Amino acid sequence: MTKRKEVRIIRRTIILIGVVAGVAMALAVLGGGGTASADGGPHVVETGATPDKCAACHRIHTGQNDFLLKEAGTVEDFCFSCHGNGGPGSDLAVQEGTFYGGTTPGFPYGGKTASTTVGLRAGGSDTARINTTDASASAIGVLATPETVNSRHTLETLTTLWGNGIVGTPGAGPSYTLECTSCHDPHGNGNYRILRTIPTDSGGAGYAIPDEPDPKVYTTGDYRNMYRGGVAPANPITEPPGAVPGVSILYDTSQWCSQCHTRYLAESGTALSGKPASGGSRVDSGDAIYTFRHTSAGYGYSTFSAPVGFKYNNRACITCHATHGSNAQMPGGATGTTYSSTVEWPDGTLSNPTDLERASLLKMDNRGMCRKCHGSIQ
Amino acid sequence: MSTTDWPQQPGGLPDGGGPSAGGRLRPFVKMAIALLLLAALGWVLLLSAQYCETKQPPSIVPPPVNRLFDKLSFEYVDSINGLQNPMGVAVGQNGRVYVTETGGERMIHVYNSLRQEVGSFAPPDTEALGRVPVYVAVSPNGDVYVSDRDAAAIYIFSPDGVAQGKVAPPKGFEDWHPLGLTFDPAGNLYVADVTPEKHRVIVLDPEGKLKLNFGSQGEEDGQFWFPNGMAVDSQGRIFVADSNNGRMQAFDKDGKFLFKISRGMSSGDLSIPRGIAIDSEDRLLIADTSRAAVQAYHISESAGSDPQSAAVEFLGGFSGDAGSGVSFQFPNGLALDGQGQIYVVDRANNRVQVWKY
Repeated sequence: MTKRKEVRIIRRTIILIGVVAGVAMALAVLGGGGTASADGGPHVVETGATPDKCAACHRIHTGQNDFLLKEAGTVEDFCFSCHGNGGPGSDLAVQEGTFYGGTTPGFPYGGKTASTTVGLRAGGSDTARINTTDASASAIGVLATPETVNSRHTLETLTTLWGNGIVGTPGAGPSYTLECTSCHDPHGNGNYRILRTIPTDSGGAGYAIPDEPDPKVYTTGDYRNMYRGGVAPANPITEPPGAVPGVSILYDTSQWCSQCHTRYLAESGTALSGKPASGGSRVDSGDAIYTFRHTSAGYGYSTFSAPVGFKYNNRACITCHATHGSNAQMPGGATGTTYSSTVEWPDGTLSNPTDLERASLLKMDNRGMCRKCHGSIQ
Repeated sequence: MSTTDWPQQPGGLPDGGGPSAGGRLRPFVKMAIALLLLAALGWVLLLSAQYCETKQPPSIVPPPVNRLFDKLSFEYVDSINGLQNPMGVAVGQNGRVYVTETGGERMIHVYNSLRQEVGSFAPPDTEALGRVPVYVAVSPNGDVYVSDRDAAAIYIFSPDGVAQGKVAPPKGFEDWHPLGLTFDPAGNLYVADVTPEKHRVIVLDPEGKLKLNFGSQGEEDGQFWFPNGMAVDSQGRIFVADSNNGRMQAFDKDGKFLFKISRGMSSGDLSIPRGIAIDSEDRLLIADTSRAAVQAYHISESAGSDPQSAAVEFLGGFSGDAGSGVSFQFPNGLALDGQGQIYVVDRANNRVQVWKY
């Protein structure tokens, strides 16, 4: 190789490096390396070559907890350092079941006139604001003052994962210790409420729930109707799927819940004439415990006066159940009956008749959720 | 002349390893040039990335280190136990310690300087689940101010816990969500407001009139994302724990941004700062909830006004010792008693730890 050729190569290399550096600087000046707009607040990792939000929670060589977390302690304590009572680091105070960012006009403010504080749709871990005695036909209101939850998705404790496994699996479900991160992906993933596509250790095949566009709706004055703002879908026959962006907020959460509670899910059965496909309750699933089941696939909009052809049966799991925890209770009927508390758990055990956990995350006391849809049955 | 005409060195050179006097460069020279160019490219890219992150001109030469103070040493003293989800702490007249709790009965507990509980109180006409006292501050005259984001209120109590009313939000700020509180020596009240989309600092004079407000929600310098604890020094400089941005920001008395202590993994960097206090010798202490530590800094007198001088010197910190059972779990509020003692809310351990320095 001649000297001239080598000099030419070196010159070209220098020019190339200069061009690359220039482009890099230009990108920098034009703001090409800015931080990402938060989908889930600080959960979303920054873009760019030198993110540092990782340092808020992790240490690479000196972590004191699983997943290189800096601090010892439970995941629950970790999450509640921001999502705890008072919301020191988030508008979503999951511990107290409060959403501090309810700025959508027309939403109830939980009785507070100068605040935008409202109840979380999913209830709370310690307290919740669900009006569990709301007598209105189609809605469930929000309480001004939260109440202690009586049943919840218990965290950090070995408990039964009811109905997990394929239909026909022996037993009521395996034991499992649930953490916030079992269901939520702290790094963000574009799913609705950063839910994991496959809940950790669920054994499910995965079911993504697409995120909704901003502004997100985390709460409602109508805990039964899962549509944005509690409104009815424009076309319950086609919507969803074919949902209207910005109107439909839930994309069949029952499929997602069934990643863990698989044996509970009854999507459809023999449709009755003129009614939604509710025949699941008349179909033997083949499972020894979860044999006949209320259908629970759908998108949360609930009315029994749906038109013929309303093929999405509107009974999402979260139509009746609050995900984090509910202040509903099972005190028994007005005549002193205690039917609910004498119904055994799926594993055959009977709890104390006054065991409030009988509430099973329902949004109404006793069997009030039945009445919301089956109001004509006296 | 061909390379084969060069005499071989003892032991021999690698193939093609001759000098370039005849028009060829030695491979190691080429390699050195290539490495230098690569290093230069990497340096430029690094500066580009740094600019992307900070939007500030890249700093090529590190700032001079101002070592006026010896490193501090810290010693564990005692704990106040039996609390439920405590969040805020303040020290008032006669060494009284006020602690807010957000769990259980959600009271404001009062302790004497010997850390014996002498009473507790709560906002009037509220039940436990209807209140969430988060932060607490004591005014120069000894009155106790307590923030409750849930109630969108700042309650006022006498030193003995007798309710005195509420702070009225200034006009235009009626939708506030008060969180962190502090006073300056003149009795001005500083409120960290986390109203959705309006995160800011509001300053009220002793008559309760709006004196100053600054900041907005965001990540740029001068903006906030869940401001929590605040402190004001003798110069009137305002130090704000910009919690979710993982930094402490300092402002002058007019709310103009001065400097910051950033998030990071190095010694002295922050993660999620919450409680903050400054002592009479301009030593700033910050409780970092996810770092599980309290860190101390010396703030130079000219910090923020002299760009050639280091604004901050990291003096060390403490995170307890897991072996001795005094480690932190998600510390939050922090207060100084003026006697060299630090009160740190150890939230997930349901206690307040007392250290001295």
